[in-house]
Amino acid sequence: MILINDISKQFGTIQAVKRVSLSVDRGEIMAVLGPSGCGKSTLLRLIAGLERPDAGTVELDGRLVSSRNEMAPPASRQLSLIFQDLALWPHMTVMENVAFTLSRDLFSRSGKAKGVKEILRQVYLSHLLKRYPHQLSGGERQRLAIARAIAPNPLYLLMDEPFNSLDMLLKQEMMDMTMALRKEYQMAIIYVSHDLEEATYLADKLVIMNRGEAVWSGSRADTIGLTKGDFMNFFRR
Amino acid sequence: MHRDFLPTRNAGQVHVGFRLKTLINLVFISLLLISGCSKQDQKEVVIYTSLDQVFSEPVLKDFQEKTGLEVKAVYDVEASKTTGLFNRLLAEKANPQCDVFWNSEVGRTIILKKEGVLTPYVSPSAEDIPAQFKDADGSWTGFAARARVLVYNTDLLEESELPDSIFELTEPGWKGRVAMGYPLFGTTATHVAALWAHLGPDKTEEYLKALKANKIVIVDGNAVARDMVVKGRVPLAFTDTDDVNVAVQSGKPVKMIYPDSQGMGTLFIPNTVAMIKDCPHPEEAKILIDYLLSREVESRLAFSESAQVPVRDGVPTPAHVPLHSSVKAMVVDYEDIAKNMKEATRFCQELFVR
Amino acid sequence: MLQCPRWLSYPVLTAFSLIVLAPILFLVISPFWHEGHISWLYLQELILSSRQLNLLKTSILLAGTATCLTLLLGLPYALLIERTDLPGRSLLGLAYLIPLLIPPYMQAIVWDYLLSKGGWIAELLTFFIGRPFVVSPFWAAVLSLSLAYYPFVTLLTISGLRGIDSSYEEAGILHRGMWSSLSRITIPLAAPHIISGAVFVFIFSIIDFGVPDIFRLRVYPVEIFIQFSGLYDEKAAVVLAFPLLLLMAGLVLIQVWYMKGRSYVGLGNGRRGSRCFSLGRARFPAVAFPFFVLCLSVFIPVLSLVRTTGTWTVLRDVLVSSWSEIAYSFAMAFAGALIMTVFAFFIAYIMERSPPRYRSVLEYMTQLPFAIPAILLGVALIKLWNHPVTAWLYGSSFMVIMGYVAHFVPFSIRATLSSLKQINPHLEEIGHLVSHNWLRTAGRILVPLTRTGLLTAFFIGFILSLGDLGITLLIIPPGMSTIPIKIYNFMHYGAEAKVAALSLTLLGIQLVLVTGLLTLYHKTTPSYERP
Repeated sequence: MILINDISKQFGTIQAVKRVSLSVDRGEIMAVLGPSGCGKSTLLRLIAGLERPDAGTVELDGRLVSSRNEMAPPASRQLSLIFQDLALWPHMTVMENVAFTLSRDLFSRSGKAKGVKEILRQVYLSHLLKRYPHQLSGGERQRLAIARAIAPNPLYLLMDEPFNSLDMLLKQEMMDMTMALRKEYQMAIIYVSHDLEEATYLADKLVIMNRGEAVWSGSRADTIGLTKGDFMNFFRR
Repeated sequence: MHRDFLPTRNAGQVHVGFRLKTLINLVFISLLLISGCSKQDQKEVVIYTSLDQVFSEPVLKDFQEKTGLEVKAVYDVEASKTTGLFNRLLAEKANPQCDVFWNSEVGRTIILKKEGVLTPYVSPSAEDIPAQFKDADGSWTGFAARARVLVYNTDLLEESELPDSIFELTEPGWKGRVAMGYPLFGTTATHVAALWAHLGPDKTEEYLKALKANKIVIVDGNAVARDMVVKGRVPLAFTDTDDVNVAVQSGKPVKMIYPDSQGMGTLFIPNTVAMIKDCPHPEEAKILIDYLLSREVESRLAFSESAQVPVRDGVPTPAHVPLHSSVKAMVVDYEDIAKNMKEATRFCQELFVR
Repeated sequence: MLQCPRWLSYPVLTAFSLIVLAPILFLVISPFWHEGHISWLYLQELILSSRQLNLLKTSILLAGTATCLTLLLGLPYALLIERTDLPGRSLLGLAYLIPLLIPPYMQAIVWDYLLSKGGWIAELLTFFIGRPFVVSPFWAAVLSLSLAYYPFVTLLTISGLRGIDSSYEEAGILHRGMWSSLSRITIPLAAPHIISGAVFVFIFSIIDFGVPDIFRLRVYPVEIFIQFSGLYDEKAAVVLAFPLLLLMAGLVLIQVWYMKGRSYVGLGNGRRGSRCFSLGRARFPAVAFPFFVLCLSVFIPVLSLVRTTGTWTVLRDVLVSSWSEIAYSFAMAFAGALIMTVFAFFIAYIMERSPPRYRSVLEYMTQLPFAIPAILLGVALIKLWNHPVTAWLYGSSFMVIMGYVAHFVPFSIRATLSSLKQINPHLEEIGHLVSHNWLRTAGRILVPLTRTGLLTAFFIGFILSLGDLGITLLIIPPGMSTIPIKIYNFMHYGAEAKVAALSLTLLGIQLVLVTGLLTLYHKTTPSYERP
């Protein structure tokens, strides 16, 4: 379970995240919604350990990983983060991009190659193993990013506006894949978006952020009664 | 900590993601090797010399063969801006690395003595060297001298046009037609300081000002001054005998004049050799100094292209090298020259560096 | 919030302080410690006389003009070969490196000969113009410096252009056309590199006294040397170097300010820029420009050198007699460049991942060694390391390498930093998310992506070390010698042919290394990146 307690982060004079608390269980998907610049990405970075909180804590399955004074290294948190820009390593092939994330702890050498191929098969990239990210289409890149993220068997998955630039068909495919991931691997997934429809389709829980604060939170059931207009109010500055 | 570098090698590509740690190790090891390579504590002697490598090296090689002592030499570079060895000796004063300093002139040697870098050693080879070329305490000994001469281009100047004295060069006929090395470095500096000592400050300052007004061309050292004459850019220049001789031997159309033979005479600047205080190999240093001050070496230098003039009589010389006694030499006290160097330099700095 | 792990940054910074900063600190402090106590005596040297101010003015004017000319030569060259469909650009893209192998004093000698009375270029121009053609020493010096140093601008600009995501430029062309895109998008995005290049050229030009001297121009560094070598006043000489130091600090300040808050990270995946500017009918005529530049900077000087060398036997004799110097020079330069590059990588990383205020401080400190004249640095090194305790270090070739690193590492840091700045931090962050091992992430992700910067740093470090005279002379162990020392010896001796032959040898060695580096570069470039 991801547990965030009263977390805050300031950059200079800008309060990016202001006393946000939330929790996500294993096997749950939580959507964090909000307009641009409301602190969603910072929240993800705080959970991943890429930023140090000014106040508050992050706990993963009861273990304190982030606080003002203590920071567990990102690599020890068993989580994966998919950036908005995917951040695929341009100088590595599809296969290498995935293989890099597997440290020797998990697989033996030959086992590793097999494991990589298997994962890439699941995202339908088996025929593109030797290609470079530059040579892939948008959808293929997204799938590669996902493959890379799930390869090390993370317990928690963070996604920053992952379906942004995808066409309808692809988006549907990706969303289904995400849900399948959740089901199969029982990951706790937090995904950040500004698309309400997407969120209500995908997520079990929703949190709406505006200007660094969590202004509404609830389950999918809670959203049924609300209209679009209500949500827009939350988004207003 | 384990690393995990994948064996994925695609055809024709080499992974630059090689083991950083291995690289660091390699660097470290090679450094150790290099440092190991260059330290040998056998019987050796260390000499810093500012006489051109082409002249000094054969002499030192000979010494090495004759005595079996390994000579480790550092040669200077006469780009006037570096005067590297001199500064190096000063900087190394606290922990000397050098045994013998062989300078191609005398002023800086005296300054080194003043700075406490040298230690006295009176060599038996120097017995017959005239007193004026030796330091009173024996801190340095002079030998094989060069003269400050005027070099001219035989294609550009007739015999009748040649000046007799350096004082003629302030006349209008020589406007812009004479070159000289920076009077702040090298033998040119020594020359100017000698004028200071010999003529007195006022007369020298007057002379130098007149030279400047007559558009004297200042260049980077004696070699360049000579080259200007060789190329015909100017017909006349101040330089040293060895610089002229090199050109003459390679067939260039130049000749030299020993100026002021009727007047104050030509300045002779000897090579000097000195022992460094607290040097690492004092006994070997003495052997080397004895050798350098021998008649054979002086003769050899006379016969070489540098055509140095022996400072004592009876040393075999080739025909084109005059006997020291046959040229009217400027009467100087080298200590005096050294004393005046700083002031002379400062004046020239103001005058010529604008 | 990426940070350099402490177990790496502490030793690296300590080593850097010892090797590079300690001599400078020593130098800067020494004038204030006179005869056993603190003294402000030498500060009066800072009150520059009118003569000194004049010299300073000349120096700045010379360096500034040379820098402008290098931009005029180097920038279009880089744009032509990196952003257009210029024919022959792969060859031209290598050829511009050759002038770097020709030391500026060599350019000066050649051009002095060619442009003065009797030189064939002067004759040619006189013929065309009608009246006697006279090039003032100032402009001749500017030309020599520019021809020697413009490759820096080209090199760094290309490095910058390569890092620009082409989608930026393509978007610009779509909306506003080629020239707009060039001036409003391409050049501003490559600006930090271009400015870095210009700053280097300025610094190299201002501390150079070989070139102005050949043209008999009086410049400021001469003052420093007069104080040092003419008046034996080391402390006064150091104080006189302060204005130069301040100038350098000013330049770094400007550069840091200029780059403040700018992001050079493309949001794409770092896809290399494409040839998006088509020259159309001007394709072939456009080749005239790079060709002209190469003529001036390479063909004419090399031909001049070959002519002066005269015969094969001269070259062969020189090679045979200087074999040990050649090997030693190569070894020292190679080791120096290697250490410099490794150092630079770590330092650049530390700088890039430090909080902004530390970064600025580090920027100044790492660029300072540039401003120190070689001879002063050499003396500082001696004074610092020549003690019985460090005898194993001093008096070994180690000192020479250290001297090179201390003097030239600023460039390596700059080159590496430029490349590092352009990497999307996300790429590194993912690496840290999956791997505890910092070295692994650095080795597998950062090093390949900063490949250009690292190879550039190595290449330049090698060339500068190979051609160094001032420092080498002061700390070379007795019994060893390098090629530049030999060249200068021959120059004094008047052996023009030998000087030319050795210079050609120097060129040859550097060409061998360049070829090696370029092969390495191509081998490590994934196929999709190849132009």
